[in-house]
Amino acid sequence: MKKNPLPYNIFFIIFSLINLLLLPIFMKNPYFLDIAITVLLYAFLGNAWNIVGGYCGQASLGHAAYYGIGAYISTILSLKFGISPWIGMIVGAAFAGILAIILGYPSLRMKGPYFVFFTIGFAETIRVLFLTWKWVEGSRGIIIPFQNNPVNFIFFSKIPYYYIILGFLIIGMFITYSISRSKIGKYSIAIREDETMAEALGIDTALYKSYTFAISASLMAVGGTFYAQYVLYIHPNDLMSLNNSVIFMLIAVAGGKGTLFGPLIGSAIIMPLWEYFRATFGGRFAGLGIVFAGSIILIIGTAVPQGIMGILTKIYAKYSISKDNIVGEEK
Amino acid sequence: MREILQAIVNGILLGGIYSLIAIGLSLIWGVMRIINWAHGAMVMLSMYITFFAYSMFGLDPLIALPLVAVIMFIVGYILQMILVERTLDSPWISRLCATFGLMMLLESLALLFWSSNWRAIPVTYGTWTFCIGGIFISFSRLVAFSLALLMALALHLFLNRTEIGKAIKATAQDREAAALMGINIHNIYRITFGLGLAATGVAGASLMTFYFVFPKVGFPFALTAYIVCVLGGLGKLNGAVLGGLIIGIAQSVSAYLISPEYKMAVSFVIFLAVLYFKPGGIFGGVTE
Repeated sequence: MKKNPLPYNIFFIIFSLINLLLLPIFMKNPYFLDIAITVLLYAFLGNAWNIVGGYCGQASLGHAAYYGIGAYISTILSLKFGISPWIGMIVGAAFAGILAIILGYPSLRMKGPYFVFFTIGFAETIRVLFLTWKWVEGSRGIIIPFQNNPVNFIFFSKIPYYYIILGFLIIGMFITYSISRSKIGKYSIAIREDETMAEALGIDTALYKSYTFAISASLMAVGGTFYAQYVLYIHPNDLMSLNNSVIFMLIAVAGGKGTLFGPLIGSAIIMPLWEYFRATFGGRFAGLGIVFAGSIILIIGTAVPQGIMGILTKIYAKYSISKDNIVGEEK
Repeated sequence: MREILQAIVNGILLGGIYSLIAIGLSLIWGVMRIINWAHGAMVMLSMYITFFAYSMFGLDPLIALPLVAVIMFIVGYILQMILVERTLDSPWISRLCATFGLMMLLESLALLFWSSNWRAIPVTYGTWTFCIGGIFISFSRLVAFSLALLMALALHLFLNRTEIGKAIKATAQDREAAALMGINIHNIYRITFGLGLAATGVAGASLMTFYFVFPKVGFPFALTAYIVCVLGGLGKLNGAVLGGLIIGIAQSVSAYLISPEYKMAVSFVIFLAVLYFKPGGIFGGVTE
């Protein structure tokens, strides 16, 4: 695995941040703004997946369940109990985190494929339960009535949504950054690299895995609330399908799993392309968008397991003055 | 009482199909330590091949069955050669990406070329049933079930009695040692992958006698097959057969007692319980 990611140039970060902040001023077309919001939302979700999948090396394919749970909790609280989705978002995040710890502790003792089976099974079970649960409208889905009010997390224009998700993304990436610098992060990376070794060194692997899992699940739930308030319609199949879980993984893996900027890059490349394919080939060639997604996963899996960030790191290592601490690693 | 008995019989017959799909998966895992996520897509593919053999050449699914198995063997051999082999030594997350991407690719290509329409083959024996002691048994499901048992038996004999079979077992036990003994392990892997897919070919062709095909048909079957494999112990063929029957009965009985919507949830509860209490499967086995 890679030891030295690209050095994060502070000027580069500030430059892109200013660009992102000014984007809605220049981008008047709501369709493009919608794509920008989608990119940021999926970067946020990919970032949340990355905490578990990239840093801790546990490829969860059940994260869509937490995404859906977050959306459903905030929506139900606001529609049935009149609680603002902002509070519902925090409740949902807390609930998803606790659920991840309760379910995570046994499941995270499983390794490799067993863990993936379990996460898929968990998400599918939750999806089926929501589909048949009358109290949450089951397979009809919930339509959130439109009330233009910041307290209700509903806005007429897309611009507030843009800034909210940008803020979420920055906070999410900051959380990832702090985790990667903290004890949890170091332990997670140790678990990813060699779980038996980590265990032998006295790390309670299941405990640290469930910490990262809980953080990741909470962020997922926050993303779910944002989705619900942005689209104003939630349905178990839209939120909790396996396809969604795969997209979260795809974004993180394509960008470079286990890197801070990987999910953002992955999302910035994949989501517009996905949208383009859907808009262009939507009717007649229904499957083409997924053909494209499948090919990307396939190519990345076989040819560039480190994703785009891995390629960038290699190029950087090749063209920079070779110092001792820069190693362009092969695998 | 009779209804429950009927549900159990239906479950056993359904379980035969699950076993058949799980056998291929288990064999591939046992030898290569790879989970074939595209297994459901392979079932779908073989069902489509069976369907087109019928619609183009008028071949009955049961006559086309050996042909489908052979085609799927070749598909597996080639796939292993050009795709899966490349990922054998990479981190397992990229192995997952490789076969998962293959699944998405195949399913969406099927959607693109063959549309999402449901297609079925109207075979004359599709609706035959017999009644033994008040319990109805569907002929085509019984055929599928018998084929599953035959396939398991044939694979068992192949693995234990033939030269290649023994080489496969040796490779499964210790890859390096097998290579040192002069076994061409890459060839063995290709044959194993081919055999695993040939099993899905048999499953797909016999499914077509009473089921319909559409691009996403395979995934629920594959999901169940993963549960079956874990239940029986990954890599164990007899475990896969028995696990298939257990899950088949559990699904069928729970569909009768609770509600059909929850049959997947019931399978997952069983699955979770097995993973939690006996991670090596109910018959023991290698945990990794």
